[in-house]
Amino acid sequence: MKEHLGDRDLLNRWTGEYERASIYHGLDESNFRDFEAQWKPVLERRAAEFPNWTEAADGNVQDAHWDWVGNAKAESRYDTFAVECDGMTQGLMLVDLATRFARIQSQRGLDLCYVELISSAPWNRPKFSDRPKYRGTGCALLATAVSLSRELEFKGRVGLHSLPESESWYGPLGFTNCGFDDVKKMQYFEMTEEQANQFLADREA
Amino acid sequence: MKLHFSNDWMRKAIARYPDVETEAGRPLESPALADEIARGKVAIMPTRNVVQLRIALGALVHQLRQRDGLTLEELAVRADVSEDELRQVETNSSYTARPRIIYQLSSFFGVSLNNLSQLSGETHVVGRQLYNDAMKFAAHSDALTPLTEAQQTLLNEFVAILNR
Amino acid sequence: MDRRQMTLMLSDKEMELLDQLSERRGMSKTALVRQALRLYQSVTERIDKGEKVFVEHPATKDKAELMVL
Repeated sequence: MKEHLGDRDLLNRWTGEYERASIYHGLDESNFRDFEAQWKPVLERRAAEFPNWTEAADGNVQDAHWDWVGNAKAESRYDTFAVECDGMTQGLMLVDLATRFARIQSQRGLDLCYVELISSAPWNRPKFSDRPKYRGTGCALLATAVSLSRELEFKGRVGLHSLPESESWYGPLGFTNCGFDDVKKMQYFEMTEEQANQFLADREA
Repeated sequence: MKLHFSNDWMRKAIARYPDVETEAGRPLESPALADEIARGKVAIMPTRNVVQLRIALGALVHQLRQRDGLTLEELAVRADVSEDELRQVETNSSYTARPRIIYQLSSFFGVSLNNLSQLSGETHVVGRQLYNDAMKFAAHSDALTPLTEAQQTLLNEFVAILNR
Repeated sequence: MDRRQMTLMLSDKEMELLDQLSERRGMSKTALVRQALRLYQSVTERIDKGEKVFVEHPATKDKAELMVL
């Protein structure tokens, strides 16, 4: 069952205007269809076009063969979220609430919201597309993860492993870079309660 | 659950944070591949090349099975995989083998999981050297006849390459 | 979110444990019980799938099976 959490604006880079998007807790067939029929083919087509090895990495197509549907359906321990705008799934997120715990010393061992996967539709990604469309899906989903963390009384604590091209984003958001994780082969980032409060605080523009 | 941020917050956040990629999490079965893509050691292959790789995979599994004197049914039981899927792996180059059967076969035959995964074309990401070696192996394979001694040697060599 | 109610009978010792854990983890007792459910579900699912759950000693890397069916 999909729960509508609320509507928030995304920025349409093409028009420079804000557009209303909906944030959902839970996915349904339309989201799976969007991923299989819209995201994947775009990623796969692009993946096949790369003339050489290094450009493929620059083009951010690494999740071309990622089994969103399989992951989301098979593993009921994940909480799933979607951002929808313009009748299409623009962002997806999988969260794990039960198998990961905080690593930062000050909150070691405490429960947190672990973002297993967070992804924006390929046409929204600056590296993937020459004309990326919507800006803000990652932000909306991350703020949703922090919200969930608060609702569960995890105080806003969030953890995630970042893909290389996204590392420059999580720092500015307020995450602590905990270093390279040898097991997952990615940088691990974690947000404390204080950082979460800072992140969600109402501020002057 | 409630969202702990307003639309006003949303607009300000969009303006405040850098306009860069925001992907996180594991995109592929093997996250190490992402790093290798960046270092130019592997590449994402077009579908036609993936088909070629799978022909090599099918030949490899078939020949290993022959080498060990097992019928398809016997191998399915011993490796704890479905007969249908095993048949697909051996004979259907359009079939994307699922991670589990690759894992089971890798364990059973003692062949590197990472390399076997690449041959299955599941990720479209393949090491250049592996691709070349697989093409050479496939070129000398004839799936329909019993293993000759020469083929046995080539098979052993290919397995050794895969496990390097 | 649906809300259903249940009354939980706990011994003194269990109640004390619940208090301690809530305190330690910085959550209300209700939130803690909910999280405990998720953890239990996660482990159960893994075991049902035939996977095993281990604890590992950080220094020695010795592994002991956490739950055996």
